Amino acid sequence: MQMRSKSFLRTLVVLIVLFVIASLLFDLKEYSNTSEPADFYGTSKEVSLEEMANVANKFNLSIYLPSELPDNFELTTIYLKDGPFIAIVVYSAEGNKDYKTAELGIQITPSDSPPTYNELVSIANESEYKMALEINDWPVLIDERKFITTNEDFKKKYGDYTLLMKFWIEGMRYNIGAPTLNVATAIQLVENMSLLIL
Amino acid sequence: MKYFVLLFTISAFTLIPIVNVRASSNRYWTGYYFYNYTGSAPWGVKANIFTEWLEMPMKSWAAEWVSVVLEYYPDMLWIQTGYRQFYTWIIFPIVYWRFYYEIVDGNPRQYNEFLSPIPLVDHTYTYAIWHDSDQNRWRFAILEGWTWHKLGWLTVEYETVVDLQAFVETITTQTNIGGSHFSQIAYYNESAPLNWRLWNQHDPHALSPYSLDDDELDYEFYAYGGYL
Repeated sequence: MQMRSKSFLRTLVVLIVLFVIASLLFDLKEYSNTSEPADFYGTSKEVSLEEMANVANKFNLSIYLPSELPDNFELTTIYLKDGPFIAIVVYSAEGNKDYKTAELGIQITPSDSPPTYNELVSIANESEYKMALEINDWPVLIDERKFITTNEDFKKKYGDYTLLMKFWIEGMRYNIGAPTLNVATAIQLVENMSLLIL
Repeated sequence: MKYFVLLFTISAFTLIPIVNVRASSNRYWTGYYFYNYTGSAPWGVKANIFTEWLEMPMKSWAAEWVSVVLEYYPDMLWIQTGYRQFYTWIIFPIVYWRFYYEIVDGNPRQYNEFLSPIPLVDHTYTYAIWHDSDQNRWRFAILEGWTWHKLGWLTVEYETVVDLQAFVETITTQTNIGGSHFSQIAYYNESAPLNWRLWNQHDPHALSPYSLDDDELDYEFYAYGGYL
Protein backbone atom coordinates (compact mmCIF):
# COMPACT_ATOMS: atom_id res chain seq x y z
CA MET A 1 0.00 0.00 0.00
CA GLN A 2 2.86 2.33 0.98
CA MET A 3 4.66 1.42 -2.25
CA ARG A 4 1.54 2.33 -4.22
CA SER A 5 1.22 5.77 -2.65
CA LYS A 6 4.94 6.40 -3.19
CA SER A 7 4.56 5.49 -6.83
CA PHE A 8 1.49 7.72 -7.10
CA LEU A 9 3.33 10.66 -5.53
CA ARG A 10 6.34 10.16 -7.80
CA THR A 11 4.10 10.11 -10.88
CA LEU A 12 2.31 13.22 -9.65
CA VAL A 13 5.58 15.11 -9.16
CA VAL A 14 6.86 14.06 -12.62
CA LEU A 15 3.60 15.23 -14.21
CA ILE A 16 3.64 18.56 -12.40
CA VAL A 17 7.23 19.18 -13.57
CA LEU A 18 6.28 18.19 -17.14
CA PHE A 19 3.31 20.55 -17.20
CA VAL A 20 5.28 23.42 -15.70
CA ILE A 21 7.86 22.97 -18.49
CA ALA A 22 5.10 22.69 -21.13
CA SER A 23 3.40 25.76 -19.73
CA LEU A 24 6.61 27.77 -19.82
CA LEU A 25 7.27 26.67 -23.40
CA PHE A 26 3.76 27.72 -24.45
CA ASP A 27 4.33 31.04 -22.67
CA LEU A 28 7.58 31.66 -24.49
CA LYS A 29 5.90 30.94 -27.81
CA GLU A 30 2.92 33.17 -27.09
CA TYR A 31 4.71 36.05 -25.42
CA SER A 32 7.38 36.32 -28.08
CA ASN A 33 4.38 37.47 -30.12
CA THR A 34 4.50 40.97 -28.67
CA SER A 35 2.13 43.87 -29.07
CA GLU A 36 2.13 45.97 -32.22
CA PRO A 37 0.46 49.12 -33.57
CA ALA A 38 -2.76 49.08 -35.58
CA ASP A 39 -2.27 48.88 -39.35
CA PHE A 40 -2.91 51.56 -41.96
CA TYR A 41 -6.37 50.22 -42.88
CA GLY A 42 -7.72 51.51 -39.56
CA THR A 43 -6.90 55.14 -40.30
CA SER A 44 -7.10 55.42 -44.10
CA LYS A 45 -9.85 55.74 -46.68
CA GLU A 46 -9.89 54.07 -50.06
CA VAL A 47 -9.89 56.93 -52.58
CA SER A 48 -9.61 57.56 -56.32
CA LEU A 49 -6.64 59.20 -58.00
CA GLU A 50 -8.68 62.39 -58.33
CA GLU A 51 -9.55 62.46 -54.61
CA MET A 52 -5.89 62.01 -53.69
CA ALA A 53 -4.89 64.81 -56.09
CA ASN A 54 -7.50 67.11 -54.51
CA VAL A 55 -6.17 66.47 -50.99
CA ALA A 56 -2.59 66.99 -52.19
CA ASN A 57 -3.62 70.30 -53.83
CA LYS A 58 -5.34 71.39 -50.62
CA PHE A 59 -2.08 70.97 -48.69
CA ASN A 60 0.04 72.25 -51.59
CA LEU A 61 1.85 68.93 -52.01
CA SER A 62 3.33 67.74 -55.31
CA ILE A 63 2.70 64.06 -55.99
CA TYR A 64 4.67 62.07 -58.55
CA LEU A 65 3.53 58.67 -59.85
CA PRO A 66 4.96 56.29 -62.48
CA SER A 67 3.78 57.13 -65.98
CA GLU A 68 4.66 53.65 -67.28
CA LEU A 69 4.16 50.38 -65.42
CA PRO A 70 5.99 47.07 -65.93
CA ASP A 71 4.62 43.50 -65.93
CA ASN A 72 1.00 44.45 -66.75
CA PHE A 73 0.61 46.17 -63.39
CA GLU A 74 -2.43 48.39 -63.00
CA LEU A 75 -3.43 50.85 -60.33
CA THR A 76 -5.85 48.90 -58.13
CA THR A 77 -6.51 51.37 -55.32
CA ILE A 78 -5.18 54.15 -53.09
CA TYR A 79 -5.37 54.27 -49.28
CA LEU A 80 -5.18 57.82 -47.98
CA LYS A 81 -4.95 59.56 -44.63
CA ASP A 82 -5.19 63.30 -45.14
CA GLY A 83 -3.50 64.52 -41.96
CA PRO A 84 -0.70 63.76 -41.46
CA PHE A 85 -0.67 63.06 -45.22
CA ILE A 86 0.07 59.37 -45.90
CA ALA A 87 -0.89 57.67 -49.16
CA ILE A 88 -0.26 54.07 -50.15
CA VAL A 89 -0.80 53.59 -53.88
CA VAL A 90 -1.35 49.94 -54.80
CA TYR A 91 -0.52 48.33 -58.18
CA SER A 92 -1.12 44.74 -59.18
CA ALA A 93 -1.45 42.49 -62.20
CA GLU A 94 -3.75 40.22 -60.18
CA GLY A 95 -6.29 42.87 -59.21
CA ASN A 96 -4.96 42.71 -55.64
CA LYS A 97 -6.03 45.70 -53.53
CA ASP A 98 -4.28 44.61 -50.33
CA TYR A 99 -1.29 46.90 -49.80
CA LYS A 100 0.36 44.24 -47.65
CA THR A 101 0.52 41.66 -50.42
CA ALA A 102 0.23 43.47 -53.79
CA GLU A 103 3.15 43.17 -56.22
CA LEU A 104 3.91 46.89 -56.17
CA GLY A 105 3.14 49.63 -53.69
CA ILE A 106 4.21 53.23 -53.16
CA GLN A 107 3.96 54.97 -49.80
CA ILE A 108 4.03 58.77 -50.09
CA THR A 109 4.59 61.01 -47.07
CA PRO A 110 5.86 64.56 -46.51
CA SER A 111 9.53 64.90 -45.67
CA ASP A 112 11.04 67.85 -43.80
CA SER A 113 14.67 67.25 -44.67
CA PRO A 114 15.54 64.97 -47.58
CA PRO A 115 19.01 63.41 -47.37
CA THR A 116 21.72 64.45 -49.79
CA TYR A 117 23.10 62.03 -52.34
CA ASN A 118 26.36 61.83 -50.36
CA GLU A 119 24.47 60.85 -47.20
CA LEU A 120 22.77 58.05 -49.15
CA VAL A 121 26.15 56.90 -50.48
CA SER A 122 27.43 56.46 -46.92
CA ILE A 123 24.27 54.47 -46.02
CA ALA A 124 24.68 52.35 -49.16
CA ASN A 125 28.27 51.56 -48.23
CA GLU A 126 27.01 49.69 -45.14
CA SER A 127 25.63 46.81 -47.21
CA GLU A 128 26.40 45.02 -50.44
CA TYR A 129 22.69 45.00 -51.26
CA LYS A 130 22.27 48.78 -50.98
CA MET A 131 22.96 51.32 -53.71
CA ALA A 132 22.70 55.12 -53.91
CA LEU A 133 21.74 56.85 -57.14
CA GLU A 134 20.60 60.16 -58.48
CA ILE A 135 17.73 59.89 -60.92
CA ASN A 136 16.42 63.14 -62.46
CA ASP A 137 18.34 64.94 -59.65
CA TRP A 138 16.35 63.01 -57.04
CA PRO A 139 18.35 61.18 -54.34
CA VAL A 140 17.49 57.47 -54.52
CA LEU A 141 18.39 54.63 -52.15
CA ILE A 142 17.87 51.07 -53.36
CA ASP A 143 17.85 48.10 -51.00
CA GLU A 144 17.79 44.94 -53.06
CA ARG A 145 17.20 42.70 -50.04
CA LYS A 146 15.16 44.61 -47.50
CA PHE A 147 14.25 42.25 -44.66
CA ILE A 148 10.54 42.32 -43.79
CA THR A 149 10.12 42.18 -40.01
CA THR A 150 6.40 42.34 -39.32
CA ASN A 151 4.26 41.95 -42.45
CA GLU A 152 3.37 38.25 -42.08
CA ASP A 153 1.00 38.18 -45.08
CA PHE A 154 3.80 39.50 -47.28
CA LYS A 155 6.25 36.93 -45.94
CA LYS A 156 3.83 34.08 -46.70
CA LYS A 157 3.54 35.22 -50.33
CA TYR A 158 7.04 36.43 -51.20
CA GLY A 159 9.40 35.31 -48.44
CA ASP A 160 11.41 37.44 -46.05
CA TYR A 161 12.81 40.04 -48.45
CA THR A 162 11.65 42.71 -50.85
CA LEU A 163 13.20 45.21 -53.20
CA LEU A 164 12.80 48.63 -51.57
CA MET A 165 13.45 51.99 -53.20
CA LYS A 166 13.38 55.22 -51.24
CA PHE A 167 13.56 58.57 -52.95
CA TRP A 168 12.67 62.19 -52.32
CA ILE A 169 10.96 64.59 -54.72
CA GLU A 170 9.89 68.16 -53.90
CA GLY A 171 9.36 67.74 -50.16
CA MET A 172 7.81 64.26 -50.38
CA ARG A 173 9.32 60.89 -49.51
CA TYR A 174 8.51 57.81 -51.59
CA ASN A 175 8.89 54.16 -50.52
CA ILE A 176 8.46 51.68 -53.34
CA GLY A 177 8.07 48.04 -52.36
CA ALA A 178 8.47 45.71 -55.33
CA PRO A 179 9.07 42.07 -54.38
CA THR A 180 8.72 40.80 -57.95
CA LEU A 181 10.81 43.42 -59.80
CA ASN A 182 14.51 43.42 -60.48
CA VAL A 183 16.70 46.48 -59.85
CA ALA A 184 16.85 47.56 -63.51
CA THR A 185 13.05 47.58 -63.89
CA ALA A 186 12.64 49.38 -60.56
CA ILE A 187 15.10 52.10 -61.66
CA GLN A 188 13.11 52.53 -64.88
CA LEU A 189 9.97 52.93 -62.78
CA VAL A 190 11.55 55.83 -60.89
CA GLU A 191 12.88 57.38 -64.10
CA ASN A 192 9.29 57.45 -65.36
CA MET A 193 7.84 59.22 -62.32
CA SER A 194 5.87 62.28 -63.41
CA LEU A 195 3.90 64.97 -61.63
CA LEU A 196 0.27 64.05 -61.02
CA ILE A 197 -1.94 66.62 -62.74
CA LEU A 198 -5.68 66.03 -63.02
CA MET B 1 2.29 3.16 -15.04
CA LYS B 2 -1.47 2.91 -14.46
CA TYR B 3 -1.36 6.16 -12.44
CA PHE B 4 0.73 7.88 -15.07
CA VAL B 5 -1.75 7.09 -17.85
CA LEU B 6 -4.70 8.17 -15.70
CA LEU B 7 -3.11 11.43 -14.55
CA PHE B 8 -1.77 12.22 -18.02
CA THR B 9 -5.24 11.79 -19.57
CA ILE B 10 -6.83 14.06 -16.95
CA SER B 11 -4.10 16.69 -17.35
CA ALA B 12 -4.21 16.58 -21.15
CA PHE B 13 -7.94 17.29 -21.12
CA THR B 14 -7.33 20.23 -18.79
CA LEU B 15 -4.67 21.61 -21.12
CA ILE B 16 -6.56 21.32 -24.44
CA PRO B 17 -8.86 24.34 -23.85
CA ILE B 18 -5.78 26.44 -22.99
CA VAL B 19 -4.07 25.52 -26.26
CA ASN B 20 -7.28 26.29 -28.18
CA VAL B 21 -7.43 29.83 -26.78
CA ARG B 22 -3.97 30.37 -28.23
CA ALA B 23 -4.85 28.98 -31.64
CA SER B 24 -7.77 31.39 -32.04
CA SER B 25 -5.85 34.46 -30.89
CA ASN B 26 -5.83 37.58 -33.08
CA ARG B 27 -5.40 41.34 -32.68
CA TYR B 28 -8.02 43.91 -31.67
CA TRP B 29 -7.14 47.59 -31.30
CA THR B 30 -9.34 50.16 -29.59
CA GLY B 31 -8.26 53.76 -29.33
CA TYR B 32 -7.02 56.75 -31.28
CA TYR B 33 -4.84 57.38 -34.28
CA PHE B 34 -3.37 60.89 -34.46
CA TYR B 35 -5.19 63.11 -36.94
CA ASN B 36 -5.26 66.38 -38.80
CA TYR B 37 -1.70 67.54 -38.78
CA THR B 38 -0.12 69.13 -41.82
CA GLY B 39 3.44 68.31 -42.74
CA SER B 40 5.36 65.28 -41.53
CA ALA B 41 4.12 63.68 -38.31
CA PRO B 42 5.46 64.92 -34.92
CA TRP B 43 8.40 63.07 -33.42
CA GLY B 44 6.91 62.05 -30.09
CA VAL B 45 3.80 60.98 -28.22
CA LYS B 46 2.70 60.72 -24.59
CA ALA B 47 -0.40 59.80 -22.63
CA ASN B 48 -1.64 59.09 -19.13
CA ILE B 49 -2.92 55.52 -18.98
CA PHE B 50 -4.93 54.08 -16.11
CA THR B 51 -3.73 50.62 -15.06
CA GLU B 52 -6.66 48.27 -15.18
CA TRP B 53 -7.26 44.70 -13.96
CA LEU B 54 -8.70 43.42 -17.23
CA GLU B 55 -10.81 40.27 -17.25
CA MET B 56 -9.41 37.88 -19.83
CA PRO B 57 -9.29 34.17 -20.63
CA MET B 58 -6.45 32.03 -19.36
CA LYS B 59 -3.22 32.21 -21.37
CA SER B 60 -3.78 35.59 -22.92
CA TRP B 61 -2.56 39.14 -22.58
CA ALA B 62 -3.61 42.70 -23.25
CA ALA B 63 -1.60 45.89 -23.61
CA GLU B 64 -2.27 49.61 -23.31
CA TRP B 65 0.32 51.77 -25.03
CA VAL B 66 1.40 54.78 -27.08
CA SER B 67 3.31 54.35 -30.35
CA VAL B 68 5.35 56.38 -32.77
CA VAL B 69 4.83 54.74 -36.17
CA LEU B 70 8.03 55.07 -38.20
CA GLU B 71 6.64 53.43 -41.33
CA TYR B 72 3.45 51.71 -42.55
CA TYR B 73 4.81 50.34 -45.81
CA PRO B 74 6.34 48.03 -46.99
CA ASP B 75 6.91 46.92 -43.39
CA MET B 76 5.34 48.44 -40.30
CA LEU B 77 8.04 49.87 -38.01
CA TRP B 78 7.51 51.56 -34.65
CA ILE B 79 8.59 52.56 -31.14
CA GLN B 80 6.14 51.75 -28.36
CA THR B 81 5.82 52.00 -24.58
CA GLY B 82 3.05 51.05 -22.18
CA TYR B 83 2.05 48.21 -19.93
CA ARG B 84 0.95 44.63 -20.54
CA GLN B 85 -1.21 42.40 -18.38
CA PHE B 86 -0.72 38.65 -18.57
CA TYR B 87 -2.99 35.90 -17.31
CA THR B 88 -1.13 32.63 -17.37
CA TRP B 89 -0.86 29.28 -15.72
CA ILE B 90 2.19 27.93 -13.96
CA ILE B 91 0.89 25.19 -11.62
CA PHE B 92 -1.82 27.67 -10.60
CA PRO B 93 -3.26 30.70 -12.42
CA ILE B 94 -1.38 33.98 -12.06
CA VAL B 95 -2.06 37.51 -13.25
CA TYR B 96 0.78 39.97 -13.57
CA TRP B 97 1.57 43.39 -15.10
CA ARG B 98 4.73 44.73 -16.68
CA PHE B 99 6.00 48.04 -18.03
CA TYR B 100 7.76 47.69 -21.38
CA TYR B 101 9.13 49.45 -24.40
CA GLU B 102 9.69 48.07 -27.86
CA ILE B 103 11.65 49.16 -30.93
CA VAL B 104 10.94 47.70 -34.35
CA ASP B 105 13.12 49.68 -36.75
CA GLY B 106 14.05 47.05 -39.32
CA ASN B 107 16.84 45.62 -37.19
CA PRO B 108 16.20 42.68 -34.82
CA ARG B 109 13.16 43.49 -32.69
CA GLN B 110 14.03 44.96 -29.28
CA TYR B 111 11.39 44.17 -26.65
CA ASN B 112 12.22 45.14 -23.08
CA GLU B 113 9.95 44.21 -20.24
CA PHE B 114 10.83 45.52 -16.77
CA LEU B 115 10.76 43.19 -13.79
CA SER B 116 10.84 46.22 -11.54
CA PRO B 117 9.02 48.45 -10.85
CA ILE B 118 5.70 46.85 -11.75
CA PRO B 119 2.57 48.78 -12.72
CA LEU B 120 0.09 48.94 -9.86
CA VAL B 121 -3.59 48.43 -10.55
CA ASP B 122 -5.75 51.59 -10.20
CA HIS B 123 -2.70 53.82 -10.70
CA THR B 124 -2.30 56.20 -13.64
CA TYR B 125 1.12 56.39 -15.26
CA THR B 126 2.43 58.74 -17.93
CA TYR B 127 4.15 57.03 -20.87
CA ALA B 128 6.21 59.12 -23.28
CA ILE B 129 8.49 58.59 -26.29
CA TRP B 130 10.19 61.52 -28.00
CA HIS B 131 13.07 62.26 -30.29
CA ASP B 132 16.26 63.69 -28.87
CA SER B 133 18.31 66.27 -30.72
CA ASP B 134 20.77 63.61 -31.89
CA GLN B 135 19.64 61.86 -35.09
CA ASN B 136 19.27 58.24 -33.90
CA ARG B 137 18.59 58.98 -30.25
CA TRP B 138 15.14 58.82 -28.73
CA ARG B 139 14.00 59.00 -25.13
CA PHE B 140 11.30 57.12 -23.31
CA ALA B 141 9.83 57.76 -19.88
CA ILE B 142 7.36 56.12 -17.53
CA LEU B 143 6.31 58.21 -14.55
CA GLU B 144 3.56 58.63 -12.00
CA GLY B 145 2.93 62.25 -11.11
CA TRP B 146 6.42 63.63 -10.48
CA THR B 147 7.92 60.21 -9.69
CA TRP B 148 10.05 58.88 -12.53
CA HIS B 149 9.87 55.09 -12.76
CA LYS B 150 11.83 54.70 -15.97
CA LEU B 151 13.77 57.16 -18.09
CA GLY B 152 16.07 55.98 -20.81
CA TRP B 153 17.74 56.51 -24.16
CA LEU B 154 16.76 54.48 -27.18
CA THR B 155 18.84 54.04 -30.31
CA VAL B 156 16.50 53.89 -33.28
CA GLU B 157 18.07 53.41 -36.67
CA TYR B 158 15.33 55.07 -38.60
CA GLU B 159 14.87 58.69 -39.58
CA THR B 160 11.21 59.17 -40.34
CA VAL B 161 7.90 59.28 -38.49
CA VAL B 162 4.58 58.84 -40.25
CA ASP B 163 1.95 58.60 -37.50
CA LEU B 164 1.15 58.40 -33.78
CA GLN B 165 -1.19 56.01 -31.96
CA ALA B 166 -2.69 55.43 -28.50
CA PHE B 167 -4.44 52.08 -28.14
CA VAL B 168 -5.73 49.23 -26.01
CA GLU B 169 -4.70 45.97 -27.69
CA THR B 170 -6.12 42.52 -27.02
CA ILE B 171 -5.62 39.12 -28.62
CA THR B 172 -9.15 37.85 -28.03
CA THR B 173 -12.57 39.52 -27.88
CA GLN B 174 -13.08 37.58 -24.65
CA THR B 175 -10.95 40.22 -22.91
CA ASN B 176 -13.11 42.83 -21.19
CA ILE B 177 -11.45 46.23 -21.57
CA GLY B 178 -14.13 48.17 -19.68
CA GLY B 179 -12.56 50.91 -17.55
CA SER B 180 -9.57 51.51 -19.85
CA HIS B 181 -8.85 55.21 -19.73
CA PHE B 182 -6.33 57.29 -21.71
CA SER B 183 -5.99 61.01 -20.95
CA GLN B 184 -3.77 64.00 -21.76
CA ILE B 185 -2.74 62.40 -25.06
CA ALA B 186 -0.14 64.76 -26.51
CA TYR B 187 2.35 65.08 -29.34
CA TYR B 188 5.90 66.32 -29.08
CA ASN B 189 6.55 69.85 -30.25
CA GLU B 190 9.83 71.49 -29.40
CA SER B 191 8.40 74.99 -29.59
CA ALA B 192 5.41 74.28 -27.30
CA PRO B 193 5.45 74.96 -23.53
CA LEU B 194 7.15 71.95 -21.90
CA ASN B 195 7.49 70.57 -25.46
CA TRP B 196 4.09 68.88 -25.55
CA ARG B 197 0.75 69.79 -27.15
CA LEU B 198 -2.54 67.99 -26.54
CA TRP B 199 -4.03 66.28 -29.58
CA ASN B 200 -6.60 68.61 -31.10
CA GLN B 201 -8.18 66.06 -33.42
CA HIS B 202 -8.24 62.29 -33.49
CA ASP B 203 -9.21 59.35 -35.66
CA PRO B 204 -11.09 56.85 -33.46
CA HIS B 205 -10.82 53.12 -34.11
CA ALA B 206 -12.82 50.32 -32.48
CA LEU B 207 -14.18 47.09 -33.90
CA SER B 208 -17.07 45.11 -32.42
CA PRO B 209 -17.40 44.06 -29.61
CA TYR B 210 -15.22 46.96 -28.52
CA SER B 211 -16.26 50.60 -28.43
CA LEU B 212 -15.01 54.04 -27.44
CA ASP B 213 -16.44 56.90 -25.47
CA ASP B 214 -14.82 59.74 -27.41
CA ASP B 215 -17.59 62.33 -27.60
CA GLU B 216 -15.97 65.06 -25.58
CA LEU B 217 -12.23 65.33 -26.07
CA ASP B 218 -9.60 64.68 -28.72
CA TYR B 219 -6.99 63.85 -26.10
CA GLU B 220 -8.95 61.48 -23.88
CA PHE B 221 -11.03 58.32 -24.22
CA TYR B 222 -12.58 55.46 -22.30
CA ALA B 223 -12.76 52.03 -23.96
CA TYR B 224 -15.37 49.35 -23.39
CA GLY B 225 -16.48 45.91 -24.53
CA GLY B 226 -15.46 42.28 -24.68
CA TYR B 227 -16.64 39.54 -22.36
CA LEU B 228 -15.52 36.22 -21.04
